[in-house]
Amino acid sequence: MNAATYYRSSLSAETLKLKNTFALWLAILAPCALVSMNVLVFWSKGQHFVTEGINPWHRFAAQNFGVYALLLMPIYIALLTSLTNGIEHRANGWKHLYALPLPKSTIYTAKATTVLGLVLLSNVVFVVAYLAAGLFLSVVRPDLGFEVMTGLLPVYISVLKLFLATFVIIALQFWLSIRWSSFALSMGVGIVGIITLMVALRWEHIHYYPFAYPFMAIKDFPNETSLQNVFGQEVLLSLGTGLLVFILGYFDVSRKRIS
Amino acid sequence: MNPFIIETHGLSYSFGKHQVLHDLELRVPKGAIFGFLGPNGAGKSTTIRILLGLLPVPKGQVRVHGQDLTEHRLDILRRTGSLIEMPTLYRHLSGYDNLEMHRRMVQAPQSRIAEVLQIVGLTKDAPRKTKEYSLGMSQRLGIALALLSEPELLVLDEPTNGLDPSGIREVRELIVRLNRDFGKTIFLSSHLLSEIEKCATEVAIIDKGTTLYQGSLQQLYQGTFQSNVLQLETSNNAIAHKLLTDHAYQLLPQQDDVLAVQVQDRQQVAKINRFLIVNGLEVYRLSTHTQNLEELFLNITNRDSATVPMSESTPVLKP
Repeated sequence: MNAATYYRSSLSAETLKLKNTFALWLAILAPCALVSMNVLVFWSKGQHFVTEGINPWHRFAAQNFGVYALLLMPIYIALLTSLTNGIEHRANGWKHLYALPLPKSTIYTAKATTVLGLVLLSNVVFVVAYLAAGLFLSVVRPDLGFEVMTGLLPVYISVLKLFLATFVIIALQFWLSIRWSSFALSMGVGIVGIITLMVALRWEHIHYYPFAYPFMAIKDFPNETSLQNVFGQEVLLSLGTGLLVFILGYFDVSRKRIS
Repeated sequence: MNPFIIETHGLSYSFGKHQVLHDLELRVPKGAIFGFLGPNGAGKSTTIRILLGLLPVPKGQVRVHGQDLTEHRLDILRRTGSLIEMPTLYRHLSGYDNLEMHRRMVQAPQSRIAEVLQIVGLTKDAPRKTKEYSLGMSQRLGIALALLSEPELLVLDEPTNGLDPSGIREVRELIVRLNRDFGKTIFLSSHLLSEIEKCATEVAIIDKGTTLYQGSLQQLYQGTFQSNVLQLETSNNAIAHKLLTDHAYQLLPQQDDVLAVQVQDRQQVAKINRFLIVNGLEVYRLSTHTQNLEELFLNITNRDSATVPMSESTPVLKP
């Protein structure tokens, strides 16, 4: 058996493990909840948001992005990683997993892929929910101008950038939750991350702070020029440090004695 | 051909400064039900975790299936099934899904799931969520998981822990059947002697990280049962004592109103009884006392305490 076979079999087992779990539902429901709340906002008070000369699709996206990048992502990733790895902690599954004829690196990578996949899934759900919400608003609030679907590309690019910019947070939370079974630790780090971000948002070096990467990724939306470069500074930083955390995390976890 | 499926040579292990295993020597023959006995904290779990590659081998050598553990961890694990204490069950999934997930990881054929369900007798309960399973069923599902990859060796760490008597019996019968019908070598750890006694063919007794005894269960018994003791109560113990010593019976130090005589076999017990009655004594109680594995175990693992608790076993005759 080679590494790819190991990885495939491990990953298919991990996906089955998610069946009936809250983690999977969360990945779908969290973006839906956010978007549907903003639908209510636009439905009732849309005229205050969409003013003359503003693309309603962009305005609606920006309305969602703010909360999504600043608040939802860090909390949501913390929840998701600790729920996914919590399956193993709860079932006392680490000893069992590591006594299987699978390389430890495969188990680790397959788990990480699952978490990344869940975050990606919720971003896809977010886009779908966003489109559905816009179409819904074009029906209930025809005056807002949602029937003209233009300029959606920057939205897609922004979501992609947002996803890539969360990579470092995912890697960090993944390591925390695989290392310690405490749910409170993951949530605590997530909340501290958000609070420090809020406090230091105007600090000149904030763009180096990992929890700020998702915010930096959508900050200039819908300014087209900054969106042309998908791999902006925050995305590269996120991918680079994320990969580093991910690899260091592996060495730390594989050293751990299972008892 | 190497007759041993597990061999350890001078295996030592320590958690920080606390040394758990001292030069542990184990030889597990192929095809055996190997009872791995020791009191809590003797190093049983540590040994098992080392055998499964969960803990590193710091000093000494471990060979499983004739291969060195540090070099061939994956090859060894592929041929080994394990159940460590409580089985790892994902409670939100059905018994079937738990097996399916494990099957994907060990890459066993799909048909194997039905087979192992059949073996452990859970076919009917497979669609139920495992959180509804009783402890005994969970344990059997755990064994089914271990069997998926058709391993030659099963390592079971305290598989009957926490089970009720019927659950214990289910698991024990399963273990015996796996060994007898499927030719699995079973490495079974326990602190319950009664469990091991009923199914093991070979035993190792360890305490404080060293092997105290290793060999077949029969040999262990032979070493124990040579000293059968007959306890007697009669209407006049003083006369009985004199009569028996005069007839060259070996009397043991007396306690209270009970005479203790060394006997070789059951016939001798009947002879003594008749002899005392013929001599006009009333015999109120005759009972043999054999040191069972329990006491032997306590004896071996706890040599400091001189007094072995005497248990009254099967009264031979009551007048």
